[in-house]
Amino acid sequence: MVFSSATFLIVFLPLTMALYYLLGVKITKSMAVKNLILLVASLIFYAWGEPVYIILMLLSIFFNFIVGKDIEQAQKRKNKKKAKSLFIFAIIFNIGVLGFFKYANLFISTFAGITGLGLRPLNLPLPVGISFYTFQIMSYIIDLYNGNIKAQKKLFVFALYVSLFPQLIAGPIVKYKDIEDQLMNRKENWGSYSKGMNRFIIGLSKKLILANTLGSIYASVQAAGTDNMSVLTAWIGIICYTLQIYFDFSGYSDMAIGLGGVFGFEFCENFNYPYIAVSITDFWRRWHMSLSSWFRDYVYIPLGGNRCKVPRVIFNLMVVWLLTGFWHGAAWNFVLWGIYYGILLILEKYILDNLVKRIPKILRWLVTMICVMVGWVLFSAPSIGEAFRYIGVMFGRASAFADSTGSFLLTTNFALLLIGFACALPAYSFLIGLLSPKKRSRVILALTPLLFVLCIVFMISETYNPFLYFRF
Amino acid sequence: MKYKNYLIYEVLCVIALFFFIVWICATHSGGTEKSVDEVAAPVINVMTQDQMARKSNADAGKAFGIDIDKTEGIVYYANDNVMDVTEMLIVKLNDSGDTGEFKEAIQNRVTDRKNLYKNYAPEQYALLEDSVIKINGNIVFYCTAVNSDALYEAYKKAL
Repeated sequence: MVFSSATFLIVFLPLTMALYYLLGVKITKSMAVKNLILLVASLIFYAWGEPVYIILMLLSIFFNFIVGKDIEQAQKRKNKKKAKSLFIFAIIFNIGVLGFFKYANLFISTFAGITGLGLRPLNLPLPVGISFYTFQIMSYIIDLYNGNIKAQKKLFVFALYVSLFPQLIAGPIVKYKDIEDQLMNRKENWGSYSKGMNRFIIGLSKKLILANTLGSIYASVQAAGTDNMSVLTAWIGIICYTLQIYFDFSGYSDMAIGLGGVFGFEFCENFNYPYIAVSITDFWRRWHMSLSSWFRDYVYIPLGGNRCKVPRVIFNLMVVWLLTGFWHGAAWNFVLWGIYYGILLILEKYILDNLVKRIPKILRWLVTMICVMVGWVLFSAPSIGEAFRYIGVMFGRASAFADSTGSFLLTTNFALLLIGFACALPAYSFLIGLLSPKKRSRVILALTPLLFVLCIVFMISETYNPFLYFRF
Repeated sequence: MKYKNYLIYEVLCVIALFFFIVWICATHSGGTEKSVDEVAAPVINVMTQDQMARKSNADAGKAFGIDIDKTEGIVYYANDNVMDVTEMLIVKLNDSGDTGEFKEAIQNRVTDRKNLYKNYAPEQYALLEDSVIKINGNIVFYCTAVNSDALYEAYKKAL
């Protein structure tokens, strides 16, 4: 089910909220009942599109719950060898499941291409959100093995942690240690509810009003092909995609965090205005923060982090970025995208550090944004060859600098692009921060219903409604 | 602390995963190397005269709210009469990972149309109730018709 669909907004969400608040909060006042309502709702939410994969998720939940208890038992009995074997067993199981369902096609077709063997890809449908929930499960197993958390005693609470519908499909990736207490002790109040609903509507409007509109422009640019594309058209296209992916993904994160708030949860932030970053390092501190911190805590630091010799740090960085690329999708252009960022970060850290500090901030921002946009071409292109052709056009290998298509796109979408930029930068937060708290809440109270009505209008009139991060 | 042996559950999980993978590969994998027109040809032959007319890819995109850029090919037939819900869609996707999204889009259309026809066209509502939505690898098949079973059988044979 998609947050921006009528089924979710008109049926699923109101029904879940009504059951949760009436039965869980008002009548029984029981945490177990509240958790059970959320668990059942989450399983229905997940099963909506492709019900067969709920079996896989439940299997994964049960296996990791049992292994977690077994690891804890082995540690309590000082049986380190058994604890380690179980830990490795669980990691192999989780990576194996993720690898099979997400990457089998890529490896089979690549192997067939290299060897010339007539192997046919499996073409299995990708289980929605598998990358997100597998990473959440792995954070539980790793933290448990390292002694940072205790094993969850109740299966249905663990199942709720993995399947909690607000963040199940596209994150943020919530670590068990960050949410452990909230699963058993959380209080819903009017403040968290209204703040959550407000955040949800902001996310919904980012997705429906901005991301979808910008996305349709990029889709039309991409559909026209690079053969007769001008430099101007290519830049307008990729600027639209740059804004689209931000509003799409951060919109989803806002909705997830907001819905979490409605049910009394506090999820970690996932974005912090990434497009004001003045370096690539800065960008990745602001973009998909839950994924970056996952890789930092569970891959980069265990590999030695930056407390080793330079060649080893470079190796560690490249491993992390290769995996980041792979995590994003089962295609070689994602791997290339990961390597691209690995190289940029290494250059920034060891070669360009002093030079970068001497450049004016505005120029650093501009260079960062150009690098990010080139990255998005690698990310969004259907193939590596097509990505390089598009980058070529952006930097002058085109039939013309500007053509009628480019001029038309610029003049008809200029206002939209300006609004997009204004919303991607902290302009709204700055302006609203100037108001007194009383006036601020009045403005928010007036704006939120207006935005919601606008979202409904867009939802009814638009049919093209995909979430870019769903396929990860 | 009493020792509990969890090994049996862990092994059972692995065995269950193995059988799940075998089952999903048998039922959901494969797709076809054939083009979408090749798959659709025998299905079109099963259609009765004037049952449906061919529509464009853009029509399919608009009707189902699907992103046609994600498809390798689309064959979409529908009845021109607005009071007739008969239609058939076969989509071959570039990436089988997108099948869930397409299936959901089709389900949403069926649900919307059911709500629309429920009170004043019960016979059309009954057809929608018997709609067939199937995924085979990277191919999505959808059909609402009086002879939907025959159309589906033809599709299965064509894969």
